[in-house]
Amino acid sequence: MAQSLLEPVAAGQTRFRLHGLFVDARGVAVGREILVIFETIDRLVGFLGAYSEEMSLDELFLSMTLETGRREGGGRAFLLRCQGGDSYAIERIRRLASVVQSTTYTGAGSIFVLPRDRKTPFGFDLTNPAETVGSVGPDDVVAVSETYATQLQVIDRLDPIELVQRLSMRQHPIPGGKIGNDPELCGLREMALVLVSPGLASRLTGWLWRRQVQMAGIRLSLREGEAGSLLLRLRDPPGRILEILDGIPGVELFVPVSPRAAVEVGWRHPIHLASANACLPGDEMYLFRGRADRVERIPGSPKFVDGSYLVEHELSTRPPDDEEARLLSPEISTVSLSLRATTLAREPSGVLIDWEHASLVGGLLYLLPPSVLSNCEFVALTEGILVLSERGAGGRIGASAMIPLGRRMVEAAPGVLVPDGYELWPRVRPQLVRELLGLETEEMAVYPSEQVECAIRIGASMRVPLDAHAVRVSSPADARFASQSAEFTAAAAHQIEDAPTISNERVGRFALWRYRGEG
Amino acid sequence: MGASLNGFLDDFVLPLLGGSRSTVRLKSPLSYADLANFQDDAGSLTRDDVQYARVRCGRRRVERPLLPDIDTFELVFWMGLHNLLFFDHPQLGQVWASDAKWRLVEATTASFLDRAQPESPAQVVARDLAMEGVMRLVRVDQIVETREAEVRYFGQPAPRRIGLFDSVAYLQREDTVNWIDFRHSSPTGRLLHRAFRASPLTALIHADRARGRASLRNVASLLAEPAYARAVVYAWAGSEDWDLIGAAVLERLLEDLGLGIGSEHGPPSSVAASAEEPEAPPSVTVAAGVDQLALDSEDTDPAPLVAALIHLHLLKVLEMKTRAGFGAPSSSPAWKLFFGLPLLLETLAPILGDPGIQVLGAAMEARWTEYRSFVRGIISRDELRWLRDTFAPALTQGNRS
Repeated sequence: MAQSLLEPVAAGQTRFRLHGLFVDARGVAVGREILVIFETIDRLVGFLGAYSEEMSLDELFLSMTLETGRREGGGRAFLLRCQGGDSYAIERIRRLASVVQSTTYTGAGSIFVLPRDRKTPFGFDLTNPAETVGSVGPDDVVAVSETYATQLQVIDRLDPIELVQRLSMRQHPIPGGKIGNDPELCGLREMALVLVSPGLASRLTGWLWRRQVQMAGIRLSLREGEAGSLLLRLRDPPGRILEILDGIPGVELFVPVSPRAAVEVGWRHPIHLASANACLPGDEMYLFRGRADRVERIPGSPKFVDGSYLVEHELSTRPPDDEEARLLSPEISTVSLSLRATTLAREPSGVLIDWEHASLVGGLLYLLPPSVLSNCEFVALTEGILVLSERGAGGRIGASAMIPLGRRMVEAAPGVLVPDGYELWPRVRPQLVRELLGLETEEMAVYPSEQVECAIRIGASMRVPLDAHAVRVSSPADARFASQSAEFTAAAAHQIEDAPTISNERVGRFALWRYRGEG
Repeated sequence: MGASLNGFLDDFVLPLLGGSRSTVRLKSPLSYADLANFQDDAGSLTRDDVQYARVRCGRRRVERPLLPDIDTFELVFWMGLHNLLFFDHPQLGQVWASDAKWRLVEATTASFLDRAQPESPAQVVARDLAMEGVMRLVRVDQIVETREAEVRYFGQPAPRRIGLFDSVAYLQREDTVNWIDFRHSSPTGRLLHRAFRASPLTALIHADRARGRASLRNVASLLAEPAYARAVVYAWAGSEDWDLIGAAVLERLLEDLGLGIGSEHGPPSSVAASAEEPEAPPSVTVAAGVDQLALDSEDTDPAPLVAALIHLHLLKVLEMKTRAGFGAPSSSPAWKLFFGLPLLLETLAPILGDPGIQVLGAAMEARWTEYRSFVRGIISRDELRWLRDTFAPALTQGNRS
């Protein structure tokens, strides 16, 4: 029976025949470096792809070297060396390497031994001193297994970044056969990049613009002397649009896989690029094209321009014909503006006092502060006296909040008063309310009660300063408004001055029959 | 009209004082017998609603009116005003009564009004309450127009029988008139002088429309109260004819001082002015041709009145409306003398005090100076000299002829 080249490490063993081995925190004998020997480059790429799915290649690339080695007996192999020193890292790499039928070793310098397995939980050490393995040159690597020692001579070094960039794309079938069938739209749900050949750019942008697809774009010159292609960035593109774009020759859809890399739809990069930023040095953007089998480097971060500037507009001053006008002004059902009860609390802007209590207003004026009183106005309506607070009082309490009479009125729109507890329905824009009511700049409108359907228009000349006239309130019969338009006539103004009226009652023929003088 | 005091208060006094939506109802004239009945029921005069109406009416002038308790004289004044208004009743011709009976009614009314002459400033204020109500009275006349004529029903509804004749085309409309400004019957015109004399404060405030010559004694002492002085001046300033009011007041004051226009010590240009322009301003013609009663001017201190007149100028300069008054200037001597009063400010300062123009700011002071230079062109040099040499000493020394 041949002597084994390796012997298991005992528990607690600290001294090893192979220089560079040491015990990690778990008591496992590990070396400073990890060596993985790949027989073919496909296995190497497969290993990198599998590793990038689990871990970040950026960390691995920091200490990793890729070399091409020649076997002592002939044949080539690819050597991957990276930093070890941890049994966990060794086991992860060993697990991934075993998937691609490659062997992992640990050690330091030029001699590497098998890492621990299930039978030897503390790893292996050389059975004999390292000198017995054979002569090892400075460029040689010896991988020692239990029965055989493989010696490889390093003949070339590979740049891992260049390797990743030169990898060919692999076709990746679209789920369901169509982009639209995939719930995630093949990763294009939020954003899609579209590379459009120069001849199609103008028509395609116009088509997208008409479809109201939110887009931005930038012109790229992929080859010297070639007209600039258009790279579009589509936000939230519909699946139907993507399907159409995918079927157009000269149009390529790209899935952004990282902030600086995008892969063509239907194709897949062997490496998970999102975990391999170090593979894409600089601030360039990479477009991995599958069908063209190219990698396009866009210098600098692309500055996309809004799509509205990419579209060629054809402005038309021709007035729409009747057919178009009919389409532009469709007939819709109209509703009337009405009052509706609401619980919304608002600052009162006026108070409507019945004529029965009109005589009490004069006495209440003594309660109002001068600043409030001087800014009050009133209008005599058939329904009563409308006392208006100062408009735009700057947060001060107005007279309508102080007068404990009548019904409070609030502003549903600027200059449009409704009873407190009611609002205008439907809730159209406040300025539109004034337009619908046909109010001029200084005019106001008031809905005296919730039963009325029409507002009363109040002109600026009809509002009278309260402090000048309110003590003399009018009778309702005299302050009459014609129809819905308030007409504050001269006669009404005269009547508002609180003047008593003479009534000459009927005098009988014998009115002085018993009239006697003094004494 | 009921014969009871409560009925009288409800139908006449309260509507007259209360104002809003009230109607003064006139049925028949009141006599001494009614006064006796009222006096028997004098307790009704202390009714709360009457007191409230008086206070509220008084607050139209000042915030805290100087009001006495209701006495018989105020009641008599109310009765006089009632009869005064009754003489404008359109159906008096239908009453079967002799002329002597009507003269008795007028004499009774005149007696009522004369008895109510105020003796104190508080009574002046009390009279003003009701008289101001008369000044504000309006009457809604129904006017029926046909092709042939126009019939006015004074404060009465038009007869319903008009509408019975379809063949008669007519048009019915309303006309609201101010009672005091409308034409009056002869007895009413005569009695109005006495009513104004019984209410001198009303006569002073409405000097351009008042008739008769009221006593200035109690009014002048009332104007010593700043609140009433301010109320009077502001009432003047609120009138469009503030300059005519000022001229009428000044003319009345000059007559009280014995310096009346045309008198021996009167202003120098009065004779010439009256010769050139026989028409006196309409507002002051009423002073002439009226039965004159003895004026209680012995104790009158006219200084507050003059101060009020000068303050009226100041207010108008503050309002910057003084130029508007010059649109239709009057050549009446009193009107010119009225505009000469601001030039006496320094002369009368010892008795009237300083109006405090400097306090109002440099801009106001400049406007006041400009105004004084402007009115200097209205009054002649002789008139100004007369104001300084005769009128001002009469005020300062109480020199009355």
